Amino acid sequence: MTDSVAEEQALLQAVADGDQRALQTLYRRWQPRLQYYVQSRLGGDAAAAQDVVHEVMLDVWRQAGRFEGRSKPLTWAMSMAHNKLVDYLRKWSREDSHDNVPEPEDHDEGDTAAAIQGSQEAAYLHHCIRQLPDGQRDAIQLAFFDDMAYPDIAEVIDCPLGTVKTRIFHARAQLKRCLSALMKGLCSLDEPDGCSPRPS
Amino acid sequence: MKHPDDDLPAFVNGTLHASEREAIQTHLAGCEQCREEVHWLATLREQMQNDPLPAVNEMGMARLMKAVRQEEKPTATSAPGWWRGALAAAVLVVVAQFGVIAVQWQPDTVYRPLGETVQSPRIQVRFAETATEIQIREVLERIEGQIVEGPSALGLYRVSVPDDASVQAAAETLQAAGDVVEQAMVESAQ
Repeated sequence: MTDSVAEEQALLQAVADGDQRALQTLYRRWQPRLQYYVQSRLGGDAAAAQDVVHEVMLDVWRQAGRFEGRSKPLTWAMSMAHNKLVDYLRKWSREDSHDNVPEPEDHDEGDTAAAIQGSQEAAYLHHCIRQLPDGQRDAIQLAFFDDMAYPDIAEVIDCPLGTVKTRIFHARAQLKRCLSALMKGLCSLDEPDGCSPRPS
Repeated sequence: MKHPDDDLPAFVNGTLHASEREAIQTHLAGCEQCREEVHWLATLREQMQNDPLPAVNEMGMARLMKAVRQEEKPTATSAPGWWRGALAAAVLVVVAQFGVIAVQWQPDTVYRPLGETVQSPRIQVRFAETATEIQIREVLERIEGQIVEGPSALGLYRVSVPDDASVQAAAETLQAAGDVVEQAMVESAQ
């Protein structure tokens, strides 16, 4: 167990005992990551994301005593954030395309690693990540932005381990396809419906 | 060994077990295709992590702490059944005593709602319009202060400090941060 995990477990225990300062410490540690995760899923809607994060942290306060230590404390909080997010999206009838996993297609990778190294290319990458179906975007973000292990990702997004691997696999293919299409000028950043290569 | 494609993301983000990691390193030594994929994934990870995290939302924390204070901390989950019964009985006794006291109360006594607790003095603060969230956070950390209320219609916040701290000294510390705090004033105890 890493020091930070042990520390967060101790903080959660203190929260369970009613320690408001411990809650504030956890808020400082977790809020930016929770906000980033939720906001990216809400199309950049910062205010809505703040509401969701507020609800999550309030649940941390209410439910800290139920944390059983089977996962890392942050994974537990991210999992609550994911559930709140799903509820929020359902409430506002936003389209959730979790299971809309497109079949992988053949694609010419070209030099897609070079495509994501510069600043213009960073814009390409952000564009392509936004085009991913929600489930794939969650998985790839948790894997590479949050450096989470597969089992932790599975707990956060509440799906089997195999589904996490499949989503990351498809996300990788989709990102390469999208980046390749952008680099070749087959589509542009202005296209609202993604960057799948146009048929020639 | 077939290409360990599914494990490459975990290899790149450092969450693979040591033994699996070693096996992949051995495979990579002889597989250019997987090396290229690892390079691509590492670049992807680096680029994603270049995205800065948002700063801590101090106003969000104040909102959370306000909500927390409004809630009664649930303790029943950890208390055994007999203890809950004893607690309920004790509460009844206390309520009955308050009832007796209320009947005997003198008219010139200052009335206070039963649920209200005596609060230590707080500091009324107006932050400078140009102050950033990071600056506000730093100045609050200096006095271990918490925003407990605000902003009011006039843009004022109430800040509390730990019980053992000098509220006057804390107000002076705030006032000294002239580029962040426009005004800091100790309120009288409630």
